[in-house]
Amino acid sequence: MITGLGTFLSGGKNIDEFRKTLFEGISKIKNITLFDTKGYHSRIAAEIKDYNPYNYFSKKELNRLSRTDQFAIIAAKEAIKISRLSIDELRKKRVGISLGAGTGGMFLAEKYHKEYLKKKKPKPSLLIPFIPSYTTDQVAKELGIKGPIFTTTTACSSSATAIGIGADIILEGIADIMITGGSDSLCELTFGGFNSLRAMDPVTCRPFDKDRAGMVLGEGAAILVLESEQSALSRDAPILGEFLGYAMVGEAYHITAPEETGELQSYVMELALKDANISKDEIDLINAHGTGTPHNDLVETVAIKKLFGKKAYNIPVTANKSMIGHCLGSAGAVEAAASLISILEGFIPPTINIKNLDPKCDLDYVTEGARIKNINYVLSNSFAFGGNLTSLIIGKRA
Amino acid sequence: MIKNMDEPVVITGLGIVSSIGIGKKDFSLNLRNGKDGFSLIEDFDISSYQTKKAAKVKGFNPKEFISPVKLRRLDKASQFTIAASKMAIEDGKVNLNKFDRKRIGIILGSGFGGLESSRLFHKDQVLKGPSNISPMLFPNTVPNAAASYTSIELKITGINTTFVQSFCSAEAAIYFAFLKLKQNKADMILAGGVDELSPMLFHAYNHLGYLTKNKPSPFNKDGDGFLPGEGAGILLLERYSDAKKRGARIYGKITSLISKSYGNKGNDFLKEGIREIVKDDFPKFISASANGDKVSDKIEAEAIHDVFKDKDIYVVALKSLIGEGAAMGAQRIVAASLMLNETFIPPTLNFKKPIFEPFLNIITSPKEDYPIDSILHISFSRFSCAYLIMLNK
Repeated sequence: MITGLGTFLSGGKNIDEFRKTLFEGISKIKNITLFDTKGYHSRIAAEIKDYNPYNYFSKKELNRLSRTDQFAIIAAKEAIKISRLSIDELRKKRVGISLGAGTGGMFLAEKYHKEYLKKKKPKPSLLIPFIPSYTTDQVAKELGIKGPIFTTTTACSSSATAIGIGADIILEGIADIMITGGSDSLCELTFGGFNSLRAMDPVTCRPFDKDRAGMVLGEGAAILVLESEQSALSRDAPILGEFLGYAMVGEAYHITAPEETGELQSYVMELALKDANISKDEIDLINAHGTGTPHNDLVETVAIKKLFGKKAYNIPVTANKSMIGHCLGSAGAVEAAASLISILEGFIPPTINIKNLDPKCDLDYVTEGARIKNINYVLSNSFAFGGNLTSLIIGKRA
Repeated sequence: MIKNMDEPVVITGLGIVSSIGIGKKDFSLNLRNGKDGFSLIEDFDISSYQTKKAAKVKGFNPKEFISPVKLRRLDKASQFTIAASKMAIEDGKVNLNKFDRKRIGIILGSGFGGLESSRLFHKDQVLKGPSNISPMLFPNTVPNAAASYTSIELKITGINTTFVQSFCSAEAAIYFAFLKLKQNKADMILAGGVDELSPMLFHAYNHLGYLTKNKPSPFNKDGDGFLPGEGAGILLLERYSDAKKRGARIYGKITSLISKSYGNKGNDFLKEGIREIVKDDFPKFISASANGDKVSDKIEAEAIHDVFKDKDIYVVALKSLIGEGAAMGAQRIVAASLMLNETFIPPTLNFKKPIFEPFLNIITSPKEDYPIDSILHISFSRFSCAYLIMLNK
């Protein structure tokens, strides 16, 4: 059961704001202000703006928390609030945590490294949040979590896998509640990295558009509270939906490019359906990985058609990254959150910025604006660098 | 705690690249001789540091494992992982062509893999500016690169994921591999971890004051820090019935595992974990996490002492031989698998002054012909987590 949800994103600093962004189809992609982007091919991202950390944390706390950690803690607190769990209650229950990470404390480590290269004397404390599991530790500390703890680091699929691991732990009866999801923040290295690969669109993120030229980075956190049915029922928890199953495979093809026949992408979706015990015909919505890179969107389209056959043309496909960018380590969790919002609110967020649809991408990408529709089952894809493919199935409460 | 009484998960192959040997034969020999892997660092400038030594991998020739064309793209962490994985498969006598590659996975703990590529990339960014950066480095900055390259090299398309969990990263990977085998989501999983000791990591450890200037002395009253190590340890894991069916050699079984978060609740979480895992299975032997940092070592020693009281229990701290690393647990579990089979106990080096008295039975000289039935593997990261793994013969 999913009993809590929290988000902290460019597309909204809480669930209500995020829902509004998704419904209205608002692009949060703008010029980057966090660091100097002069000289880069692309200079845009979906950065979290108007954020004053002092509204959330004390100065002392901020000395040890990276932006990634801050986003995670804020989203986790919203999630447990919605779940009607207090920290005192969490301390008494069997609770674990499983988060996906991306760049972790890289932004602070970059500050350190810059000063180091300029022969200055940087503070060593800038390095402490560097290890990606630090974020998980800080959320665990904040919530008093004593159960199993995991941090996955598979780039763009990290947090999708982390949610799956959380579900596994509950299924095994090891914990009753798992805090799952992920957090990530912008940093220069990743920004420069994707620029160096010419994988960034300098204009906007426009998945499935004929002129799409790459991804646009985003940042933020999304946290889902997973809970055993028994625990949820016994405390009369709000049940937002069900996490029904997932699958992951390694494509074993190329470190950055997807294999073009989409065989493994199609296979991982099939395995996820099998794990969830859902038939192909029951899927109402596909929340695509949909990054806006020429190759990725095409292969994902091919893979969907390979699995669903003619039915593929009747399943709406949406790409949240068109609004809030690619949040890397938290992307899978953010999109799981968006999928859950679709189920709860009965609408499909649009894929925005499509002006001329790529004729080779010929599915229903919901380009006209939010579509009102009753959603029972969502398939959400997260396909990472390195061929780490994960698909999740989220459903309405049965 | 996770366990599987009906169908144990067994270790059927070992792969190791370490500072004390590449391949299980050399590794085992140096363990039983108590020869540590610390040496003067030669491949980068250490003149500004007081600590000069680390347990670096020496004499590793990647060409023995990887074709030269592919080698160009691979960082050291990926090379170590591919080498250790190939050894584990060979050691397990697995002909991959006879298995469904979709049912073979890799789950890795990564100890700062990708950091060296990140450093080089970011250095160019800062010093040369945006327009002159090579796109070659960036793909290797992600921690999942090592597992990914290994899956490409072996053409295995099963479960594939990478964990970083403080200094228990390899244990997190082994825990999850156990769970997935139990769920029957794979038939075989290469599980373990890799550490790459890059210049920036060594610099960071130094600047944070984690390192000793001497050799690390686990459980010593005045242990003033650890020394970092590197390498990869890979276990070939499968379900017992599958291993038996194909007549595989079984090094040992993983009986139960515990993962516990620190959660800001003092240091009792390690003790609680140990108490829980020994409830139905009392080991005679502990492979301790102790690394020479007296604060952590004391917490661990007290936890062991409180749980086992006056019971006969022998303790060895292998980080006195192979150093510390985020995924160093993988090398220690390879060592434990060998100990279960070859009936030897390696020594804890540099142990002189116990933290309290009476102290634990720390094994300080190598023992031969010493049959061990079970080993409790402890992995402890003070402000993050504890992982406990029970290994049985």
